[in-house]
Amino acid sequence: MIELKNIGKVYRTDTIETLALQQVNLSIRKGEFVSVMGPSGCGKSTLLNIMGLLDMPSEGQVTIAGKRLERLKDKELASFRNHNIGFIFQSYHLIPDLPVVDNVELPLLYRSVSAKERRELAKEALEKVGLSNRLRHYPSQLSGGQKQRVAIARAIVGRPEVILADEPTGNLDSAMGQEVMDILQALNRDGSTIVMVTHDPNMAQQTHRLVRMFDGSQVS
Amino acid sequence: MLLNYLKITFAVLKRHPFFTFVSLFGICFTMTVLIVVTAFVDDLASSGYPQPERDRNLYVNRVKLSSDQSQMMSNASLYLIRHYLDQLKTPDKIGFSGLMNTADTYLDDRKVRLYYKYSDANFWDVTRFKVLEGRLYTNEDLRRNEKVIVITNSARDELFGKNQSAVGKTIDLLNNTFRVIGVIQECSIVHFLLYGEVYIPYTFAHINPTDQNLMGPFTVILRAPSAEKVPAMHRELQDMVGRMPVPKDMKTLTIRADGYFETITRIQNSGSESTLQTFYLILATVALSFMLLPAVNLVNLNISRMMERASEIGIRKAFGASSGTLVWQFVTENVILTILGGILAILVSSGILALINGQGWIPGSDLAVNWRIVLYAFGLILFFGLLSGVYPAWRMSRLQIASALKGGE
Ligand SMILES: Nc1ncnc2c1ncn2[C@@H]1O[C@H](COP(=O)(O)OP(=O)(O)OP(=O)(O)O)[C@@H](O)[C@H]1O
Ligand SMILES: [Mg+2]
Repeated sequence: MIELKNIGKVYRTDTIETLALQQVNLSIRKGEFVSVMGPSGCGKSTLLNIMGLLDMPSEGQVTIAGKRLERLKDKELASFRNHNIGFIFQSYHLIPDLPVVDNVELPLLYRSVSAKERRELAKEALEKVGLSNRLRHYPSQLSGGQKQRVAIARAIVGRPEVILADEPTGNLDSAMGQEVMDILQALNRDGSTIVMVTHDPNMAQQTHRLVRMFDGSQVS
Repeated sequence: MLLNYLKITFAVLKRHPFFTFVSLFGICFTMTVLIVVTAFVDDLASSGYPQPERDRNLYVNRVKLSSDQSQMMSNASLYLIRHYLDQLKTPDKIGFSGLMNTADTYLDDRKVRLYYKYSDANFWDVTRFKVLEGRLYTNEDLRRNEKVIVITNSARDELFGKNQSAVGKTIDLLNNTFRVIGVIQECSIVHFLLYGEVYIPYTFAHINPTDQNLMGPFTVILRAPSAEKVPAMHRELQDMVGRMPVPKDMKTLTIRADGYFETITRIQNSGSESTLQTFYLILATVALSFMLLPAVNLVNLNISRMMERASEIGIRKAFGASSGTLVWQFVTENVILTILGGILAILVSSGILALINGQGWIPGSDLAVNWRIVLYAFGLILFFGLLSGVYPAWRMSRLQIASALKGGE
């Protein structure tokens, strides 16, 4: 499903060069639930961003669903992300100006889906995460766990094959973290391919495979 | 899509009241100034009253004598009119009027200050003032030295009461007692070459009949039989000026005869010989700088506002918005905001213009926001919205997603 070959990433600023990733090779099969662990600053987020086409690798090849992706134009990349990838972030990244249901509809805005259908799909997704009673709330009126569930609903509303989650439970207490984890596992059972960065060994344990990273390289 | 842009725009505006207020205020203020100025220019340019056929006329009001040492400049004298201009063959009518002056009159211990103007009887032929009551003075009246005057409706209202009959009543003015023989509909003071509240025969202007000075107080209106004859009329005048004797001690004599707008704009930039083009250039520059300052401000405001929304940009991109889509979103937002400000400005300026009309601050003015001004205003609004929206939107859309998301944390 996801194929990373010789991925390297260098961040260049005027003064310093940071080697964030080097020689990463990783292959993730369809339907797999993979967790990524490693110390802070080792490049986990960078790796996930490259997988999700949010960032360009300095070298190497990214192939998702059989498609080479380094050379796509902005528009094609946007469309590919829209249809194939759902993101979940540690800090939720909901749009504060929009109510929950509009936040969830977001990915569908960039497809040709009618307003009515958008609304239905968004409600459906919110039902899956148990938040159908919070449609009109604004993000600031929700708890951390609720926000993260909204973010999950947004990630799955467009039915992408791949879900990329960067420390989805990082800001939550263990009970709420487990709730989120349960939802992810249910999604995985329904066929989603999931890559999740985590610091929590308990969470990592519940996945199919653990990738360990250290200092920009993959160690296992 | 547009509906969604609208939705997010209103959501954003509602949730950031301070920003919304500052932006709307800025846009509204600028636009109001522009619309009010436009209303004036429009009034000046479009209203034909009291001279619907200005393109048949040339206006002579600049006589210039210069030598190596000195230069003198003034309007035309009666001598110039009678001895020279009256000999011109092309014009089918020549009329003249004096400068706009004020004089006081007393009515039951009430002092009333009036704008008066001297004119000849032909003045009423080269203008088309609407006579509300009575009649205008004629050459016959002037020959018989009748102490008659024509007043405007606003002077009548002030002196004798609103819509009261004035013909036959007398006014003490400039040490004379004049009898009102006619009431006319006043014109806007913008047409100051023609404007007055009281029109007095020039025979009361105490002009020394033996004075041979070419310079005097009068603006002469030369009316050609048709607009096509105006260049010929101009040529004939200049030929005549070329043959006129130049007073001793002086080297050159120039007499300008221009179209209406050139004449009044030249007078406004008093002294300088600048033409209509430079006047428009100045107007355009002023308008542009008026637009530019708030536009730059708005660009800044927009950039900082969008910076605050960096994470939103990152999020939208992550979920499939292309840079182009985002540019559109932000430009649309900005245009909507500007349109809101513009609508407010149209309302505010209508109010201001109504106030100016109502208070009579500008005598005879009939300023209004008409469809032409609204159209112009909307052109400005769009220009303004695009100007202040495109650059920030373009900048923001180029943000790297990963860093945009970080920026929003
Ligand atoms: N935009 C950037 N510019 C320069 N350096 C960066 C940038 N983003 C990340 N880095 C550097 O790249 C390295 C990897 O960063 P990354 O965010 O991938 O770490 P991480 O493993 O996700 O850490 P954490 O567990 O704390 O989230 C770090 O050394 C970081 O300083
Ligand atoms: Mg990270």
